[in-house]
Amino acid sequence: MDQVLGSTITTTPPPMARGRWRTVLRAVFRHPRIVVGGALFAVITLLTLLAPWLATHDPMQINPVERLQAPSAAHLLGTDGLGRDVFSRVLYGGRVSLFVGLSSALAASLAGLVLGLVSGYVRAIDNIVMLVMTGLMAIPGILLAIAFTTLSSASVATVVIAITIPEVPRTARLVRSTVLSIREQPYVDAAIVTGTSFPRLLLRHIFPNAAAPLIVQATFICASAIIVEAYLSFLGAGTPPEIPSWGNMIAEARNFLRFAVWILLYPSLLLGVAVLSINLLGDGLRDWLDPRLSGRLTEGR
Amino acid sequence: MAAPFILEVRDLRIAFDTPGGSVAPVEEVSFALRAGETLAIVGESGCGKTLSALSLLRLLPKTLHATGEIRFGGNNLLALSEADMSRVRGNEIAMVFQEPMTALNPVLTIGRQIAEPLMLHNGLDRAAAWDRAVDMLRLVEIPEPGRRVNEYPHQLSGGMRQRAMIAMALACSPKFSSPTNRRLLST
Repeated sequence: MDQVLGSTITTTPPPMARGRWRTVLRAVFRHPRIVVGGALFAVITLLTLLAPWLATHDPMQINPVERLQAPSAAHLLGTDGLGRDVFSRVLYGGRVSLFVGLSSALAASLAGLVLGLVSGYVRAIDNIVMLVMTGLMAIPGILLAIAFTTLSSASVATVVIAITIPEVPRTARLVRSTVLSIREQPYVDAAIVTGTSFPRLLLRHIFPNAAAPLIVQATFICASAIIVEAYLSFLGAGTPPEIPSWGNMIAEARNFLRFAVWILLYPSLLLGVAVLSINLLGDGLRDWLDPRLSGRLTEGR
Repeated sequence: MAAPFILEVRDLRIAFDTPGGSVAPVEEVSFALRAGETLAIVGESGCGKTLSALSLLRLLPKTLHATGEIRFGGNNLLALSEADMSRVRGNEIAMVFQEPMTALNPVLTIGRQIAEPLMLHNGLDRAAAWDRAVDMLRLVEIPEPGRRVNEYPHQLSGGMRQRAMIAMALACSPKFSSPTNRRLLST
């Protein structure tokens, strides 16, 4: 009898993987900004990904007879100055904007990660890299991007590179500063004591500590890249005009602002919502990933 | 006849350069240790116990220079290359740090921190290293090692963290471990 009782008291721990996911989900739902931002971002991403099925017209199809039409059943969001369907163009334009945003964020994070990790640890490289980064930071990002797109042929890839370059110093400095503080921690010595090799030390022991601020920074880069892409396109130094992007649409729409406000309204609206959702997501992630900060901010709840 | 020394430290001197010349907090330290022996280095605060222990693994801050001779397994550890030194660390000489709170990486699970040197030095695969990590936690008498192995340092109590540090140091069955902790006995 005792044995039976004993075995009922012994609880077997639940399978780890499931428990961990549940903990993560619960933590995410405690941060409403992650949920709201993530949901909005997911909706916009889905809309642009499903553009070929959702679009009612060819986004490039010029149709002078139907130009500047107000929203109707045939053209859900009206037509622009060349008779192109605004609804279809907004969907396809989002693809360019989101692609530019995401790939700039990814490229800037990767470049910053490599430069930051190495220069945070190797003194000799640090001096050179930081000199170049400081030099880059002295040039206004928009000017650098305009110069770059003017000097090279216009394409979406050029725009991504032009937006990424001014962001790299920021990510590199962010990672470097984290590495500089982490490298003095006793657990780094403890990892060295167990014979960890240098690349492994950087990637498996130091990088995970630097990952959280970098992820948060990446979301803000993504949001700002979408805006900068719009700036550049507006100034005619961005995405080639024949490719629909939110920036291009806004640039073209300004000529018709007084009598066809819908051409300007919808791409601007989606641009705004996309940037807002990414910023919310970034804010939420920061609160979640930096528990010290979130504790202070949510104390008043 | 006594067993041969496994560790011999001769005329260890640790110094740092100041504008006014070289200052040495540790000078003329010599000691030796046979297999199976325990050596306790006792002294007042700031007399150089920790520096001496750190110098055995060449973990001194770059501003400090150790000179003299540390003979271990036929080599002078102070003259080894970085690559040779990393084979000695963990594998042959282990270390238990004073502060288990800061000496465990907060973003890695306990299991990974114990298993990693095993995969590195003993050539164990992931699963075998993981099993051994659980065994090590059991050895240092941490309750529910199968659960604790998946947890992060902040989920452990102070005493458990201290034990986890010891498990980490002993995982590769080193010839010699260099505990730098007075509280080792009190936990």
